[in-house]
Amino acid sequence: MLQRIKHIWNRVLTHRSEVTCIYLFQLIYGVVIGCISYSTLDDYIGQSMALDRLSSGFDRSVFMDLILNNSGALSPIVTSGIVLIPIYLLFSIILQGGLLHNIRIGERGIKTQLRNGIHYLIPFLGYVCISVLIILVFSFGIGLLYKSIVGDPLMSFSSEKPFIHSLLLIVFIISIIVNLTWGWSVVARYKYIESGSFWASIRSGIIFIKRHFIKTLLIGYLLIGLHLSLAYIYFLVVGDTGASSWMIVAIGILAQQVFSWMRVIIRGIGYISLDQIEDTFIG
Amino acid sequence: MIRFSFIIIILFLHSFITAQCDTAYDSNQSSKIANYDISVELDHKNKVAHCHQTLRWKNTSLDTIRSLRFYMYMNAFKNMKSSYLKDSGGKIFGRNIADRGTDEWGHITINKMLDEDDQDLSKNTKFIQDLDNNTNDETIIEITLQNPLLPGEIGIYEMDFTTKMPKTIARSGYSKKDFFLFVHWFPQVCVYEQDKDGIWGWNSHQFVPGTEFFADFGDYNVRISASDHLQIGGSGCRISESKADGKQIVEFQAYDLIDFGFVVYSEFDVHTSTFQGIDIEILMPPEHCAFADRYREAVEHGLEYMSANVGPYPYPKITVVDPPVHALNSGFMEYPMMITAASFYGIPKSIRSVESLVIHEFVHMYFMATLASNEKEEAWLDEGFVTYYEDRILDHYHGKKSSFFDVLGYRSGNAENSRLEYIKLDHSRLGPIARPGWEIKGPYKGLIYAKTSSMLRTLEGLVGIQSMDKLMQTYFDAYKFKHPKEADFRSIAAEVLGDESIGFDLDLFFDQCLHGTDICDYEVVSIDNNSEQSTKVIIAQNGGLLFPVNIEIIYQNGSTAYMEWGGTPGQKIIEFEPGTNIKAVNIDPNCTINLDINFNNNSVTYEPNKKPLVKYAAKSTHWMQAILEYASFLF
Ligand SMILES: [Zn+2]
Repeated sequence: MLQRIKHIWNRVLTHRSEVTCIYLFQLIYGVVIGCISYSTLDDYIGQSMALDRLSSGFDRSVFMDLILNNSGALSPIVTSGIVLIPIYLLFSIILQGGLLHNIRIGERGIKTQLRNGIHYLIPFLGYVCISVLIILVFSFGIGLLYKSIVGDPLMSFSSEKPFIHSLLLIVFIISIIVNLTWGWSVVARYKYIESGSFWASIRSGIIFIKRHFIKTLLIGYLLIGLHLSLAYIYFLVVGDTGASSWMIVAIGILAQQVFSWMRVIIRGIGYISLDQIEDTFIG
Repeated sequence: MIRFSFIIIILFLHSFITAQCDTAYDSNQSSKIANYDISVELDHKNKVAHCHQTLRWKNTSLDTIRSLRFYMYMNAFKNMKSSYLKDSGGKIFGRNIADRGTDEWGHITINKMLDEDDQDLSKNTKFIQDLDNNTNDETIIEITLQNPLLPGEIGIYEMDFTTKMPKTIARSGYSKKDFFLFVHWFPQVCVYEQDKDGIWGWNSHQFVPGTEFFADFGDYNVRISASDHLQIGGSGCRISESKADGKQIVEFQAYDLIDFGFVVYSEFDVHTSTFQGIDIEILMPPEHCAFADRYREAVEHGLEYMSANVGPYPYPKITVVDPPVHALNSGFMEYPMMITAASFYGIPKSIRSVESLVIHEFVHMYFMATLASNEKEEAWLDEGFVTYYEDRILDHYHGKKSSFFDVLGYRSGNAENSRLEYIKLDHSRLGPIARPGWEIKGPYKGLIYAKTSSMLRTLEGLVGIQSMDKLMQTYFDAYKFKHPKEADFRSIAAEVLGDESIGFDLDLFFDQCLHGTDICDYEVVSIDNNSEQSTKVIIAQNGGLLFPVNIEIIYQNGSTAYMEWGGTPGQKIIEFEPGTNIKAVNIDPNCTINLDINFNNNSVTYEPNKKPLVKYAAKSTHWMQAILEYASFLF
């Protein structure tokens, strides 16, 4: 087991430049939002001594006074987010596609990542659409079924305990669907990289999920677990460190970027884990 | 005979064991105008209570009383035509209440009312609609007396009435597993009082949204007979309890209350304790038992703080009812000596909704139960004062910056939250605070609760906490077990604070805050160190409220000076000697004027602290990165 983990980690390190490329792309978008946030705050409270109140940590009144007295103050940030996220998602298909190609074929480097990513853009967009559709249809269907069975949940259950448990069950069922869909989309893309056939890869993906149902789920939950642990550690370590000195601000920024980079690493772990299983699978 | 003696002994022991409250407490604190002796026979299967009450009502007016008026609130839940429900759109507290079977509505009927000459008065009645002339509203009944009551006389009436409980709509009602909340459930006499011009008459408003209590003080003896599988709690002290043949009889005694409520449920866990000699009884469904300590601690904080800062808790007991989630609409409410809270399985300790609600309702034991203002006409006198103390208590025990919530580095104080609720309001459209509940359209809570508490906190900022405490203690002492009005509070304020010593016009303060819609917004517009004639600072009051305020001037050489400003609306130029180098100007540096709707523009500095700007820009960057990574997991 340890050997296997070590092997996966070594393969992630092999593809560190592609992973870093994804991280840097996200960083660029993040910095754009960061700059807009800076100039927004600077415009409204840049000359105010209220900034001192933020030095010792989060102060709700500073932000709420700003928002409630300047309707639309946050709209540049929100609007930029709404525009930037879909654009990034398109780029993401290229970046992830290139990474998947390099993992599957055993190549490395940002050049092959980008070249192949662009090459796969259209078919991989197809997998994205199918995945999103599957998750939406299932989630909506389960929600509808739940609503039709339960009605007003606060009146139907004798207490909120079974209500909360039933909600957790639904979240669990949806998480299974999300995990399987994700596993299917990765394997289907691997198959497409190998065969170049869209429909055959869809079929191969389904057969893979059927055969490796448990393993796919385990990998999915491992990734979710890693993300949750990372988020927990983030709040524990970085949380709200205040801004009493430039050193503290700088350490905070550094820590945030380490966490951002690790998030992309987790994605790499997921791709390589599925590739390991897929290696032994003849679809 | 032996068996009979045995039963008597058992009954005696049982009564002895379950008796509550320190009997030594003062049971003679009010004028005891309306006194009730009620027997209740609860038919839990049919959701009906068959009741008999003996009413002793004292005519304390100078008039001869020819008719009595009673609140019949349960008739608000008779159908959708009542004034309480007709404009509700079929929803109360966000839940659908219109679609229900005929047996799920409620009502109250007086079957018989005998005077001392055994004359039945129940045939000579009419319903009164003073607010909206809605003839379908039967929440106030007038009963003509055969024997008028002379000034000082006491009328004694034997009344049979039936209360059919509705499936819970708002507070009163029944829910699953034989949950019943009996509040506003009996024919309760309205208040015969003098109006502003000194004319005596009935103050008897219908039950409409935005209105709750107004009743006279009196003693209550309530005996409830119900199936023995039910637990019963209520206002007052349980003085006896007996069980036989699948039935139980529980008797409550309470002195000097303006109302009496009780609760019944088959699944309550009962937690009892004593704090500072006061009995605390918490009734909660088993799934909420993890909250028992939080509830108890919240009540103890309320008791400790209010006793120390306002006055001693005037009753021997407090009952806290935590309704099960299927009866959530029964929660969030106060009754004398009994409050209904609300909680939800799993609420973490860092979100103090449980504490703030319990403390809020507990403080109502002072502002509502003891200082029994007319909640219908002047709701700010209880809800606003209660919110002010809720904020103080929460901030005192849980920290000014974290008493409301403190989750993952994001936090807020309770008082801070109240102010934010207030600054959200559209003041000119919403209108002033001091109006009857039925006239207020829009965010009632923001206006009555948050604006009043912000006003009181501003007053505290202006006069200091010691003077504020003295004002509240004097007010409580002078008007406990009475019906104080705005003028009463203002006259106590004038007496305690005195206009000269505080440096501002107290009357103007209350007129502006209670009867006006002006706002307060101080601003430092600019600092000009470069003018040849003089160094100039421009400040402004963008609103119309007039409060004296402190201005802090910080010079480049590090020295600091303070000056007073009357806060007059419009801009003001402050001139300094030419060459004076001012680094920063800060109006109200300690944020004492809580009614100021924007603290951010109260200061301008030449040397701003840019570190937080960089920090939050970096945070936004990081959050954007996280969003992109999570959003693209399928891409
Ligand atoms: Zn309240």
